[in-house]
Amino acid sequence: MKSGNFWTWKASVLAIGFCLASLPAQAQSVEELRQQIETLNKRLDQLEMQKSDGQTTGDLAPAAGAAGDKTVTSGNERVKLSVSGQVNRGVLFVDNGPTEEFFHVDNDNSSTRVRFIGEGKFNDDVTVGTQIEVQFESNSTADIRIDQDSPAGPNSFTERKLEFFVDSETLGRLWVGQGDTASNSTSEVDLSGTDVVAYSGIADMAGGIAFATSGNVLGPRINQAFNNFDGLSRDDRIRYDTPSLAGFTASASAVDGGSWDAALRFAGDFGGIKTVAAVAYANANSRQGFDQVNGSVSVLLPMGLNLTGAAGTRDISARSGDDPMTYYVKLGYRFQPFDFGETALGIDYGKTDDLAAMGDEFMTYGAFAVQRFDQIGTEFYLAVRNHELDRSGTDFDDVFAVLSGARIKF
Amino acid sequence: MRPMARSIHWVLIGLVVSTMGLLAACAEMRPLEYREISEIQAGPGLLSGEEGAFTFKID
Repeated sequence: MKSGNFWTWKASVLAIGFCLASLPAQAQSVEELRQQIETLNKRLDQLEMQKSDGQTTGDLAPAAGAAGDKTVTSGNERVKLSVSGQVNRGVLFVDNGPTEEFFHVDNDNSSTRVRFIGEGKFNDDVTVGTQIEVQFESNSTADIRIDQDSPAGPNSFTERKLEFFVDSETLGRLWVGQGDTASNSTSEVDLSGTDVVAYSGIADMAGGIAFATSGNVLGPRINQAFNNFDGLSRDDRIRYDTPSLAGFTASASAVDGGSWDAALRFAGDFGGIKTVAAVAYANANSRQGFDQVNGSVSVLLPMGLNLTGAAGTRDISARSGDDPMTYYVKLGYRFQPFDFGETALGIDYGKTDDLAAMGDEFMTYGAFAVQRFDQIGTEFYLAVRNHELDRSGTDFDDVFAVLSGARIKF
Repeated sequence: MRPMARSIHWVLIGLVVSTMGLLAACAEMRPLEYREISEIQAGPGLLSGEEGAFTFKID
């Protein structure tokens, strides 16, 4: 054998031996690759199933399902922070007689806002909490003017609630800070499902618009001619609420400046007939020069039919003669013709006398619809409303308004 | 002041309260959780899902 052939043969044997020795490793790699492919196929199947679920049950399902991930830890125990908010924007058309105008607005029926609620359990009975809620309204429907050249509003956050509370299941709740007075919202109980665009505070739809004569002489604005006398609104105060007893809750608050108020609320379900009601007395003589009494009631029948009413009167100390008074009624219907959310329809009528001036008679009526889209936390709405003001010696044109938009909870 | 209007309102308020009391006393009334319309309403949110709020809890 020639030496060259020997070395060739030897090299071949070594190569074959090396290949034979590496066969198990290659087999192992093939096995690993096969497993990886199987894993990827399974993952692909899972993704395709998730996509399919999203098309049928809503693309936000993963977000909802991710609630369990919204947990953080800190050095404290038994406390939680809830962050919520909403954006409520729309387009408002207004015709006050001489002038027609479109506005891009923040719907003051339920303004754009954000809220932070912190709560901590002191023991099984007592919870201590804080609440910060601020709104940011650009071109609020309550502030717009028919002749404005730029959007209305402060272009900044404005306060709603800056308070803390101590809540005892047996003793009730104490609130301290800027927030709802005891009488706030007592003219506004409403089970119609249409309050995002229509409730007893009808001036929230186009309240800044002034009545005008045919010669375009401007008169009072809607929110000067109308008021639902809804207590003392939000203010710096200390407030106490009793625990609920047979559906009743009593409240009282002492407000900065010496005003005070008291209220009684009721909420109950009588065999499917949901009923809420509230009455209040407010004394603001020390600062605003009036005292008032007001209340409201709303009933929702199982079939969806609902009826809401509110009334109030204000005794203005600096005025003699008739007291301003107001009342409001709403008839509504809630039903669910679509899978994606409830539909609410309604009509209403309201009247306020002697507010902007003695002898004034303000009247309003409207029709509205709200469609909910639960999966995206959204309500679309459309409202049509007419406002009339009768004043002796002056002939004001009606103010006609149409508002459409959406409130989206985030 | 308009005494008649004031009287009517007090009568109405009295009627509402007494009616509610009577109903609560005589009927089988279940508690109803009512969130005032000035509040951010319960229900799902666009980003926050079913809870309607981002809730950070301490375990």
